[in-house]
This record gives sequence, structure tokens and C-alpha cells, in this order.
Amino acid sequence: MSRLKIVHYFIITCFIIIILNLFYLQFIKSGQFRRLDLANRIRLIPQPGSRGAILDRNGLVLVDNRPSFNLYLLREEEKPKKELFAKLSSVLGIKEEMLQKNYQKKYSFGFLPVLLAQDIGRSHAVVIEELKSKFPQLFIQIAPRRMYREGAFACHLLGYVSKIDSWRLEQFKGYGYKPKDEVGFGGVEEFYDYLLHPEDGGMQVEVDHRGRISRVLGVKEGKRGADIFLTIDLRIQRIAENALNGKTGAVVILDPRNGEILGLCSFPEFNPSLFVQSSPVIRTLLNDPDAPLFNRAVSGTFPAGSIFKMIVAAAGLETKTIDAKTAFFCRGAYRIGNRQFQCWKEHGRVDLIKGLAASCNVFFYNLGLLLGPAKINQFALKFGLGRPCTVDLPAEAQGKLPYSFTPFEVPARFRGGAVALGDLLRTGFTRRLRRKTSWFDGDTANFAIGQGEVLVTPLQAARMAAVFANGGRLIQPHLLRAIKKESSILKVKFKNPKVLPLRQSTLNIINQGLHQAVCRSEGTAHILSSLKVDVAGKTGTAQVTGGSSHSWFVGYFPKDNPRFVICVLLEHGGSGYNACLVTKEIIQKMLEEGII
Amino acid sequence: MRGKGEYYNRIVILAVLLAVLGIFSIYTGTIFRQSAWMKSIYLRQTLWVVMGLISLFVVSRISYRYLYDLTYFLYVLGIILLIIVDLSGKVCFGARRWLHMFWFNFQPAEMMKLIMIITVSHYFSASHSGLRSSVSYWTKTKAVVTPLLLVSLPVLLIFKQPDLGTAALIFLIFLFILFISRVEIKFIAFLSFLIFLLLPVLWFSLLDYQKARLLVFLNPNLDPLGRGYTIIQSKIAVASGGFWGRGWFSATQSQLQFLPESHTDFIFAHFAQMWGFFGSLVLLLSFYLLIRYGLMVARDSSDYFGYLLAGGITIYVALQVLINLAMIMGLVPIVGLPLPFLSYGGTSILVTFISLGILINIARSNR
Repeated sequence: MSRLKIVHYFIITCFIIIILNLFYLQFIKSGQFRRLDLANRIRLIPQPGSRGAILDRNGLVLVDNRPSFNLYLLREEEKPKKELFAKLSSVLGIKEEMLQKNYQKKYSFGFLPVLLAQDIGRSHAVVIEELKSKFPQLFIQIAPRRMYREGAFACHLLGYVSKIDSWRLEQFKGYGYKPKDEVGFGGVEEFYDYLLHPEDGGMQVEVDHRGRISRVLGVKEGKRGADIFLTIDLRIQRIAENALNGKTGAVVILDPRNGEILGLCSFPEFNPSLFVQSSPVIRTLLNDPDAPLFNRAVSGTFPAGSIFKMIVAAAGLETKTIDAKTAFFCRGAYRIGNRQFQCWKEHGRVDLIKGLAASCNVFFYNLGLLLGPAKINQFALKFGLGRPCTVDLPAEAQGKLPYSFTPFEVPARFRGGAVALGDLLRTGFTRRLRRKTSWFDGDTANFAIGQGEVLVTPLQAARMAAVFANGGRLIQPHLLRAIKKESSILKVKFKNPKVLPLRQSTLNIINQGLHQAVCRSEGTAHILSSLKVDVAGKTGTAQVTGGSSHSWFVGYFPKDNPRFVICVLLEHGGSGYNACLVTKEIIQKMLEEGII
Repeated sequence: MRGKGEYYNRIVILAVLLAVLGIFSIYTGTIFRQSAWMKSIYLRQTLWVVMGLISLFVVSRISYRYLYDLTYFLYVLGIILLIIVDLSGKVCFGARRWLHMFWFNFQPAEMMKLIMIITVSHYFSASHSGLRSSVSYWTKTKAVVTPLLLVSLPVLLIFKQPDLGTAALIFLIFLFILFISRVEIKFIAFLSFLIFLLLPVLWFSLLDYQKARLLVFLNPNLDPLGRGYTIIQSKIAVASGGFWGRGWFSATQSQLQFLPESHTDFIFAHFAQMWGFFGSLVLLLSFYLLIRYGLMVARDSSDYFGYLLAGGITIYVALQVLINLAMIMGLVPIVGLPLPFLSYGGTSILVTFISLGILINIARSNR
């Protein structure tokens, strides 16, 4: 064989080796390397959609978004240089170590940009735009950010937005919620999160070896969440909050005709923006003994006190146990067994109207004993106590009655046996009443004046009062009025009020009593008589073991054809008079602003 | 025997085909760059190819036998140019390889490859008798050592530039010419053994970056973003081409500048991403055919000088192609060797085409 041939074969062998290697790379390893190629150059830049706005019934903005500037770093081949962090630190005024830490913490995937700093402010954003020529991997994204214009205004009603927690993420995974999403917590933000929640968009870009964006491959526009109109009237809400300011308690104002909540506030309050910024102040909020995050209007349960007398009165009249003329004599106390049950005043001869007006305990001790606890309990349930109002707010409390389960609410086929089952299930509620063994007349007397085991939320109290204001219908309180999605407005219809089987005469007598409480000089709410609008209502002073009493007022106005029901609760606020003062201030302001 | 003139056409067609592929590859690889100079690089390459073709036609008309007479003149000229480069050359990428001449930068080392082939061919065809088995052992040794010294001088000069790749290539070509000449195998074996012994010395004379290249070759992931970067990116480019490739303007690795030197030494990686396995196979086949015709020209040459010259030129092309491809696929360390016909570079293109011109001339003389 000639040497030239050997060289020839050598070259052929080399070619074969190269072809085999090429085959190995381009066939067998192709997929793997293609992924590397993609990782090299494709970046995803999320573009959050904007959350729907929350508006009041007149279309005034309660919550909206504002543009915020977020600083992102596109991943490079190399780790970002120290020089970059030093520069950013001097521009933003954030410590260099913080930025480094942020970078390490937020880094998730190579193809996702890293969020270095949030909401850096327009002036900083401009400076960083100029830095881009030197550090092309920086970029500023404009993202909508929740803005609570008036700080704590309507905070309990609205709630706040924050990063999704693990529990919610687990619950809502099927609905397209992702980690790091912003979701509503508390209030309407949480309850209607599925409406408000935006659909996030994103941008797929191709970058070159220095991390510069060389072209945009695709853009998915973020979809704005639906705007929602609440039944809240901004003016009423503001009046109520101003009146309540500084006191611990809650105010609920609603329309008795349809259950629309016009104003709902709780105090102490908090600033929802703190949660948007994840401020360290949150911890102190959570540990505050006054529980500023707690919405007292729907989640707080308080002993009903004298406002419960409306129900006892209705029960007495409906069951024909008494009529308008029935009278008892009040000597300032009532003796049951060997215990004295006090009235707050010696009222003398008291009929139902006077009993309500002057809030005579003795009258209701007598009436309560005539009715028996089961009857009172049954009527309390009819008026919506002891169960949630199903209002559209999260974490609503159901309140408490001695016995929350009545046979007439059980489907026919469960009657009998199911009651015993219900007993078992509700041992907490049925503790004494059903077993009768440890339920005494004294308990009935206490029950009849709303003490003891009657716990209600301010919203339940307002709903209860609304029954008398609207002619015997149990309304469905709600906050949502309309949904605006892509420029079409959808009006929301809630279930119709439930007509309670109450006689008109019963309502008339009780309404008279409630009106007398205001207009009679001896009435507990007489202070409200000076207002230019006729108010009817009932005060309550709910005794609590330890601390001063809770102060209640529930009522409605104008007396004829009522359009507003108001419930004021002052936690440990003393006598019902104090609640009347707040009520007066609210109604006064509403008159001044011409709302009524 | 078939008409040997056919080689003429085939070799020219293959060369033009390869050069055109190269121009297209350079075009797609650089058109997305920022600077105007980079954007227009394909135009310069076209100009060089045209000049190369003209040189090819001119050289193929001049009898290669003149080269035999010109050998020592060329040799001395080459050495002088190398020395001038050493003294006043243009520094680029940390190496002094370019000589600024009139309006272009000239790379004498590139030309030296061809000159060395001519020189060694001249030597062996002249001392033909010295290789015969009847002569004394001393004569035989002298017949190997003299060309070794002749080669060593430019190799050392080039090595000093530093240009390890070209120096090694020239030496390798010398060994191959030695092999196809009638030098006894034991001399070649002895020489190889000598080089083997010299390797440690060579290692210490290497510059840091050259050592690093060798180390990275052994394990590219040693320094994936630094010295291993190029080889990893070139592998990604080749592999992501798949079977059919990504098309003209989808060779993202080079177009987004992840792959450095995609228009010069790493042009094949860029080509492979565009055209995939299929295209690469076509390219390799073209190269192989060219080499095959070259070897046939050598085989059929009428004199010993022609045989060695044609063989040397073919081996020169073949080695460059093979080393360049192996380098891109990470089979050998990265050495700065261009891919003949395709890589951008004036001197390289000119020298390659002139070499082909000589080859064609030899083929013609065979008739």
C-alpha cells in the first residue's frame, strides 16, 4: 500500500469520526442542547395585570391602582457585578447587602428576571433608565399597585392586598392563582377576589449575550380584573367613620328596603397600604390588644342587651301572650326565687310601648317568663340572630343564642330523630335549654333582656331592626351592587327579603314603642328627638363581666317610610346614651349633607 | 485513465461552492451586529474570494516548476516577513500576527504554511538519492535533519508570535510530507519520539492562555463562563441545529453573539446551527471530495516535486479542515485555525486559493 493511500485512509477515518460526533451532537444530544440554547436567550418578563377598582354606589373610587416602578435584573451569563449593586445602592438609598440578599432571595429561574427593588419611585426610575447604557441588564417595569387613597378609610370593609399565603394558594390553585400573586385579604378584596383578580400577562423576549433585549417574541396583555360597585355611599361611610373615630366599636348603616349596606365601619382601624408594602408595622398591628384588624361590624359578637327586647316584644304580641294594653308594675327590681333582678329605674306601671321606650327590664322579665325561653329563642332565630347574615364579607360571625337549632328549620323527614342529632352536634349551644335540667327562670329573665347567652354582631342587630323598618321582611344585607367587566355593567341581584309571618298590628305597636323611645322625654334615646328627622330606635346597655358595658343603638329613620337603618355599637362604651350621641352626630351630618 | 483535466473543473467548482457557503454564513452571522464594520464584513470576504479566484487562475497558468527554482527566495522572504512581524507587527488578541501592508492586514504565518510545503517538497525531491536504502546511515539522517532545521526556524518564529496552532500545523504538515516521501518509518518514529520527549519543555514555554486552553479542553466545565465558554457555546450551536438546522436567520447562538468568532474560526458551529446535520454532511462531503481530488492529483503527478507538493497542499487543507471541525466539537483543544474557504480572513483565503492554483497546475501538467 502506498503511503499516500495510508494518508487517504487516515483522512477518511478522521472524517468518519467527525461525522459520528456530529451525529451524536445533532441527533442524540440535540434536545438537551436546544434547551440550553433557549435558556441562553429566552427570558420571560411577567407583566402583572391591574386589579379591578372598587367604587362606591355613585361610582366614586374607593380603591384603585397607581403605577409603580419595579426594578428588575435580567439574568446574565455572569453573576451581577459588585459594581452594579454599589451603583444601585447609591441611587436608591438601599443598602448594598440588602440588594444582594434580594437578588439571591428572588432568583428563581434563569429565564425569569429578578425583582431587585419594588416601587422605587418615579425619580429613581428615571435615574436607572439612564444607567441602562452601562448596565443593559437592568430594566424598569411599570406595574399597577393598589392604592388606598385615604389611608385607613373603609379599611375593614375593603380589606387589603398582599402576597398570597400558602393556605390560600393551596385552596385556589385550581383557579389559576400562582405563588407570589397578590390577593385580597379581609373585606371585599378577599370576598370578591375572584372578580377583582387580574389575569397576568407577560412578555417573552430574546436577549443577547449581554442580557440586552434584542427582540420581543410575544406579548400577552394582562387582563384587568373587573371593577365592582359597592352599595356603600362614600359620604355616609365617611360620616360614620368620622363619628366613630377614636372610639372602639362599629357602625352599620343599611337600607332596610333592599339590604344594601350604605356604610360599615369598625374602629380601631389600620392602614391597608402597610400590607401592600409588607411594612414591618404589621406585626405590631397583629399584636395590638385592641385588634385593629378585626372587623367588629361583622366578626365581633357582643351581648345584645336591651336591643333584644324588640324581639321579645314581637314574640309576646305574635303569640298573643300579651297585647298592647297588657301592663306590669315596675318597682325597680323583680324577684325570681331568692334573687333580685334589677331594673335600671323604677318605672311604675309599664305597658309594652312604654316598656320599649323606657327600656324597662321588669316588663320584659315578666313577659319572658310568660313566653318561656324556647319561644324567645324561636323568634330570635326568625329575626336572623344566631346564624350568619351571609353578607358578602369574609369571616362573618354567626353570633349565639341559647339554642340555635329549632325543629321548624329541620326538613320534615328529619324531625324527631334529627333533633337529638342536632343536640349532639351543637352541644355548645344546647348546653342547658334543651336539657332543661339546669335552665332556671332566672336564665329566662336574663335571656328576655338580651343578657347572658345572646351574642349578636352589629350587622345582625341592624338586620333585626330593619324588619321593623320595612314591614316585616328579613333582608339580605350585601355590599355588591354591580360588576363592571370590559365596559359592560352587570347589576347584581341578591335574594329577595324573606317575609316574616308577623302581623301588621305587632309591627305597628313595636314601631310605636321604638319611636316613643326617641320622642318621649323618659325615652332612652330622647336625645335624638332634637334632630330634624323622625328617628325610631332602641338603645342597649349590655353588661359584661369585667369592664364597662357595651353601648348599643339600633334604629331607623325617617320614621315614616324608613330608608336607613343604623346600628351603633361602642365596645365598653358605657350606657346606651353614648351610642345615641354617635348616632346623633351621624344623622346630623347626613342631614347637613342632604343625604336623607 | 480518465481525463485529468476534469479535476480542474471539479476543484474550482468545489472551492467556489465552499467559499459561497462561507460568505452566506458570514453574512447571516454578522448582519445583526451593531457596528457597520461587522455588518459589511461579508462584502470584504466576497472581495477576497474574488481576488482568490483571480490568483487561482493566474497561478494555475504558471508552471509549478518555477516554484522549484524560487523555493529559497520564497523561504528567505517568508522568514524576513516573520521577523518583521515580530518587530513591528500589529498586536491583535494579544498576539503579534498581522503585518499592515498598504490597505490590508497581512498574516505572514498563513503564507508560511505554503512556503514550507514548497521548501520541504523541494528538499526531498532534490535529495532524492539521499533517501535510497543503499546510502549510508549518516546520509539518511542528514536527509531528515536538514529539512527539520529548515522547518524549525519559521515554526519557532511563529510559535513566538505566539500562534501555537499555525506552528503546530506547519510541523504536522512536515511530518505528513515526511511520511508520504520515502523516508523510512523509523526516522519518522524517532522524530515523533523526540517531540514526545520535548513535550514537557514545550509545556513550560507555553503562555498562560495557551495552557488554559489545553486544560479547558480536558474539561470545558472547569470554567464555563470564562475559558470554557467558547467551546460550550459552540457545542450548543452545533447540537441545537438538529437534523435540518434552524434556517438562515435562526442561528441564534451566533446572531445573538453567544458564540464568539462565529465568522472566523467558529464559522462551522454557526453553519451547523443553520443547516443542521444535513447541511454539515454536504459541507463535509465537499471537503472530502476536494481532498480526494488533491490526493489523486498527487498520485498521478509526473514528477516527485509535484507529488510532494500536491500531497503537501492536500494534507494542508485536510488537516486544517479536520482540526478546525474537531476543535469546534470539542475533540481537540482550541487552536486558532480557520476553516479553509469559509472562515473570514484575507490571507487565509488568498493562500488557500493560490495553493489550489498550484494543485490545478500540477493536475494540468499530468496530462
